[in-house]
Amino acid sequence: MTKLRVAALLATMALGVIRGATAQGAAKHESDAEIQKAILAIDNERYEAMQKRDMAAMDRLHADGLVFINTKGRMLNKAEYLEEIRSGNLKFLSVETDDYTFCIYGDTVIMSGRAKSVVEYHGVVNKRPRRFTSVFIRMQGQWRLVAHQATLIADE
Amino acid sequence: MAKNAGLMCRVLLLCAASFLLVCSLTAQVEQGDKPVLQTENEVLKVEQERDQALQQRDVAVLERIYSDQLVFVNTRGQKFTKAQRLADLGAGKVEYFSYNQEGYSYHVYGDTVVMTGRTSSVVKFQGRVNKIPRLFTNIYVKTGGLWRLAAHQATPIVDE
Repeated sequence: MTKLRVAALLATMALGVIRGATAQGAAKHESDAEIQKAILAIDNERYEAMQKRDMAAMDRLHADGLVFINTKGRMLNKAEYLEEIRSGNLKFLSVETDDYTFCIYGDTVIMSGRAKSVVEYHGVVNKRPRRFTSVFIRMQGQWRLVAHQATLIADE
Repeated sequence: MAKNAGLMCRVLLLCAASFLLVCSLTAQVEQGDKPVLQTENEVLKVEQERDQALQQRDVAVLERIYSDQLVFVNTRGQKFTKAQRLADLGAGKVEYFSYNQEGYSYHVYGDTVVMTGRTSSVVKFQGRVNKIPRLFTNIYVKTGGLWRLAAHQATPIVDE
């Protein structure tokens, strides 16, 4: 009986190691197209969470070390950025993004794009097009936004 | 019976120790197996090398530091590839009159570093001189054993 228990324990641990290795292997074999699709899905989820002020989702989708630089050149950490959303100081009245490019470095993805979303920030509505860079890193299997910066496009 | 129990304890302890060792090794791999401060110093050194190369228009050094997939967004919201950026620098279309960067902060995620800072460098590009203080984000990624700039974006600070 004892031997059976030890064998069962060893088998469970071995299975865990194999599962871990398989998960890593699967991640390595993901195509760029699959990664891009996953990032776009996460980014859409992020915009939905912002519009609905779903703070639990916002907390999950943003890394604790988030660095967020807005079009005014103001840098916010995760707590500050989430508070702007929660308080309603930052509202997305519409979401429109295009012209994406993706650069994939393993579990790091740099997504660049253009946004024409209408945003209200501290009572001021901003409709001007802007160029953004978002950086996502996969942590414990979950993609999270670690950095975002937006800059107004001067000539549009 | 007591002998079997002792044997089982030893086997369990061995298993637990092995499991902890595997967990520890996995954690080290996730952290890049290196102290964060050492990584920050390595990235700062590359950043300083880039600063010098920009001022001296040393395209060969920038060719090495810039990732082939570089995404570069300037303060006017214009996006450039590595080839475009190096061509502009090589042709003298980017001219630095002074160079000043400060207030660096780092977030280290293994082989990716998010570096932010503030610059008030005076630079001429496309006939315009830019003196406005700006915040920037540099994303450094370690590839082939070297830290390379994978993305740069700058945004003017409007309230100053």
